[in-house]
Amino acid sequence: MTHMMRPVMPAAVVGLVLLLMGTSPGPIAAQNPSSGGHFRRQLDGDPASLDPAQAPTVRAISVKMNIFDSLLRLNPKTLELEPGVADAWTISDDKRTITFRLRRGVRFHNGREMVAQDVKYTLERLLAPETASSFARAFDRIVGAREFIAKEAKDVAGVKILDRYRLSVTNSIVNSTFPLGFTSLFIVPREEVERLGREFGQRPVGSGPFVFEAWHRDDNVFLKENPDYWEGRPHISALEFRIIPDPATAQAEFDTGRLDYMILTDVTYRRYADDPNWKQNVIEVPELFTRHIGLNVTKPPLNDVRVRQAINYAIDKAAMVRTILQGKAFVATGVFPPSHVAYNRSLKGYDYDPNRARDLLTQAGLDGGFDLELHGATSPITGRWLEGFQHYLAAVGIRARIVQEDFGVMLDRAGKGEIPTWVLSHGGGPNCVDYLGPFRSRNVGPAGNRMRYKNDRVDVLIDEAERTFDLRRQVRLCQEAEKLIVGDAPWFFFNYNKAVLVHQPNVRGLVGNPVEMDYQPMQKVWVQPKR
Amino acid sequence: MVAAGFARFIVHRLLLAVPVFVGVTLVTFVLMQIVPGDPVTLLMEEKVATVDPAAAQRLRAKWGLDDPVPVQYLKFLLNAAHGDLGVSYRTDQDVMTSILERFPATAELAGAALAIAVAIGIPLGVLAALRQNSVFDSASIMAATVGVSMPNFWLGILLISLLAVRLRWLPPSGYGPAIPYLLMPALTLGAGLAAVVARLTRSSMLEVIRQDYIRTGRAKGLTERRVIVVHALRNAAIPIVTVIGVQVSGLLSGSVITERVFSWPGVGRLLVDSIGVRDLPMAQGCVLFIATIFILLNLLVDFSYAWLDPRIKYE
Repeated sequence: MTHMMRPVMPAAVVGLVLLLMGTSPGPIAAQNPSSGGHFRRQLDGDPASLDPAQAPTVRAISVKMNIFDSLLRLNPKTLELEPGVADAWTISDDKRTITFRLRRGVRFHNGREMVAQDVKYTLERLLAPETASSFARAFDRIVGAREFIAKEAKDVAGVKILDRYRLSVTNSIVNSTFPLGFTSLFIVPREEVERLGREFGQRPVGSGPFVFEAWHRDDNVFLKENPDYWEGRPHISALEFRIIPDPATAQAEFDTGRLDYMILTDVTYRRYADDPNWKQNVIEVPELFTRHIGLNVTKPPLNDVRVRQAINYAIDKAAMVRTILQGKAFVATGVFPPSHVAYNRSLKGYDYDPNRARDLLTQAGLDGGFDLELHGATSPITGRWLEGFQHYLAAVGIRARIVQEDFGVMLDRAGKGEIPTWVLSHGGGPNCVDYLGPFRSRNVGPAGNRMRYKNDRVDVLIDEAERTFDLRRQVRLCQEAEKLIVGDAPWFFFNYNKAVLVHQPNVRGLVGNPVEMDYQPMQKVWVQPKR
Repeated sequence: MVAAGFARFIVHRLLLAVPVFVGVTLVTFVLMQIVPGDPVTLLMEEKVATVDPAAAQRLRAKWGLDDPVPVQYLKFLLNAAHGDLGVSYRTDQDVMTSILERFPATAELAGAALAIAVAIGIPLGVLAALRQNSVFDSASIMAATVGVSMPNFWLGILLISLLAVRLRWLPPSGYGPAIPYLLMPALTLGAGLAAVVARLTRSSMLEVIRQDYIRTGRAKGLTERRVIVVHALRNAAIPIVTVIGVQVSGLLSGSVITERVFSWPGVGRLLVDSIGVRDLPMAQGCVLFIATIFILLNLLVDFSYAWLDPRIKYE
């Protein structure tokens, strides 16, 4: 039996997500969208490449998602899968094959119609070893993918074209996260890729709501509206991504009206959120981002669960969120943030309890405390967090020495198991299995599990969750795994980031996207003319 | 004879550049190998900080990181000798193209900063020397000290806050027509250099104006203007030109902080961004480019000595 895939999300969770999700101010919905205008938004660095197979960075994807189309999309409000250029998709009874039906009349910016063959080409290009795409991991279990990668087959057997507008993709394993991969599979036209070669990443041709116009390196990327877009002509006629690396400069640009919206940091949050003139233009949402201190569970004394729990009890997270983070975060109780479908409201986590922390250290035979290196990146914000941790840890006898180092160096050393702790933000998608990736024993090392954490029961639960397409069951399994992880404390669970943007008063249609605030559906945004 | 000596001088200097190039690339290469941090890790999954081992392997193969380290270096040298600096890990773009794309912005900023520095620094230094121990002299020394001490990022933010946000006279940042876009970054970068030039001009002029030939010039009835500009300043210029040469080489290598504060798309940002993700070909290319600029400008400074002081000969 085949059925239409409509992911089921528990009503309570949907309600909670909607409640917590930032939305644009109410009266906006009542206004009619205006056409035209030049919309300017910020990128904090050059996007490097706009080839969908390259540059898996937020800044690059923020641009690419406007130039290209994907088969499926993630609704930024509900985090449900919704149609992209595939207007329907079905999943087979054995849960391994997805059949997509493409919309008719979707055209690339060169005028040619998009057909099923383009999807097959895009997938195979992504998997080809010479492309060396880091996006390939989402598709390398498709039937025949490994043979194709090893150059033992000239195409991927599991990708079948059924007719001009339909194709099926068969995975070799049952994996509930598989459909999600198609939300980031941006379809490319073969003839343009072949014509432009490596330059395709510099002068991309897609089918999205905006057409690539110009890219001045380290300065700006210009897109113009695609009048023939299948979803309708975008409201704004020109979209400019201005590359502004310095946050203080970005603020000056916003304050002088030369940016239409800006992402706020801990430092700038209160200035706009508390200002009566601006606060109605502030959109905030609990981001799918869990900040933590990774604890290497193989390094004494962190190999003792009581010591790791003591660290979790020792630090007053609420006070740190209130003061150092200026309230721009939510206290973490576990792995999943409040906007995640698997967020568990009943999970209590670790309250601030220094006495309990001292007791646990005594039980672990560490009456006199111990020395601990606290590693973090060199940003000033991380520095402030580290000082906060140091203060609280000292109160229970843990003598922390702060080591701030280059982010890449820290990540590398943590991956090799060289350092005992590191401050990191874990970002993930809406699927709970993906989100728990760093706790799977098969991911030990740079693959994400830098803590070298291993709990057989957690592995089993995540494996089971990965195989089920029943969302309720999947969430239950993930939450059960999360409980065990919180008990084992391979992280100090710090906070969930609150993503916040502030926009100009005449901007409409921006949404609070918990996956990434910068992933805005720009075809739905418009600028109200100033009177 | 003079021409032959000059040609020999140029050939000699250019030949000396070869070991400099090799040394610079070797040092950069070794440093990038020693510094912890894997480009594959840093470029793969920015948001979730996880690495797919299979994809990492494919990237390593694509970038030639599977080869032994000495082989990687020799391959780079061989390609560089043919003018091919390779392809960036981060952008998948030709390294030389990327550098040349940024260089006009860097050169424009460096030129404007230099013009400001010379226009302010030299007259200030000359006047301070001519009025030694006067209030003007003390004030100019103080101004120069402040100019040298002010960090670029601080002055830049201050200018943005005043001229862009408060007065709305100039755009806060960006790259565009010189007026209005170049004014603030050039002033930020030029202020420090102007201070250096002013101090140096003052001390150099003080030395020269006490020489016998200056007194002779005045005794011959030359105008004061001619004595100062033609006789004193020209003779005082050698140390000034030397320092300006070194400073301009630095400016042309990219002024990372000013470029960042004013979102100026120059070579400095390119180099720093590349080092951040261990983009070896791009970092290597930028360093080589900067070394070339230093060598050429030093050569230019050496040539200028002969013009400033005809007693200097190239042999």
